[in-house]
Amino acid sequence: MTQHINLLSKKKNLGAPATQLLLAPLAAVLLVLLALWAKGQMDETQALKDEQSAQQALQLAKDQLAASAKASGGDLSKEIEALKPRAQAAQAVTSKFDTLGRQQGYSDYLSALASVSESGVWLSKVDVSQGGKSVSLAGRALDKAAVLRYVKKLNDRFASLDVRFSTLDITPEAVPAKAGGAAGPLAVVAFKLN
Amino acid sequence: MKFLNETLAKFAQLSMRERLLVLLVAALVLYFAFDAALLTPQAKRTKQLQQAAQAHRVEK
Repeated sequence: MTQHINLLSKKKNLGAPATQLLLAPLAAVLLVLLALWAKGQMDETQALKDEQSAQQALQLAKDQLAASAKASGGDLSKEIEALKPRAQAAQAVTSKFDTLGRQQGYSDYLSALASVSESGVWLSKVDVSQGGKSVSLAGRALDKAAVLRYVKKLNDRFASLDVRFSTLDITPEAVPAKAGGAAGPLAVVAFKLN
Repeated sequence: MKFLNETLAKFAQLSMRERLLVLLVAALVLYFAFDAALLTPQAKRTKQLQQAAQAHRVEK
């Protein structure tokens, strides 16, 4: 009679304890996870209730606001209608301000004008109209080139005031010499600038 | 059932160190699967609801 014994197998078969060793910890982990999930469910339910109550409160506040606005809506529209003629009259007056003049005056125009100078050019007339939108100058100069240089300086200086000179009329003039003077008539140019 | 029996039989053949490793890996897989499937979406929904409630309160 021969008996076979496997001497190579060193591992013991633990049977039921091995099964428990595998399943019990996994079951414990699963239980912990389920507990976490259950707590999350409770939190979610609570958050849902909070959100619904906040939404209801908001809707209630909106309804109350709409109701109060509706109640006072008639009075408001009457007040608006009563104020319309006064507003139109005030608008008519303020619209005339633009053509009559400026509330802050024209000192900035004059100081800008005074800060620009060109040799051989002098002004004889300054006219500011349309509330400062239109500025016209008239004067005389010894030659045309001086006038052109003066216009360029003026445009640079008046750019900040939103005024631009775009029209220049130059007319040659002959100023008669003084009686007894040796020299002949003085040649100048008269200019108008708009 | 047959698969489970075979798995358990294989597990029974492992050494203690191997068993611990298998347990650790199985627990990690279980945790991450559960988290991805249930816990994270649930937390996201809860956060959205809380933010919505807060927004309603602020608007009010």
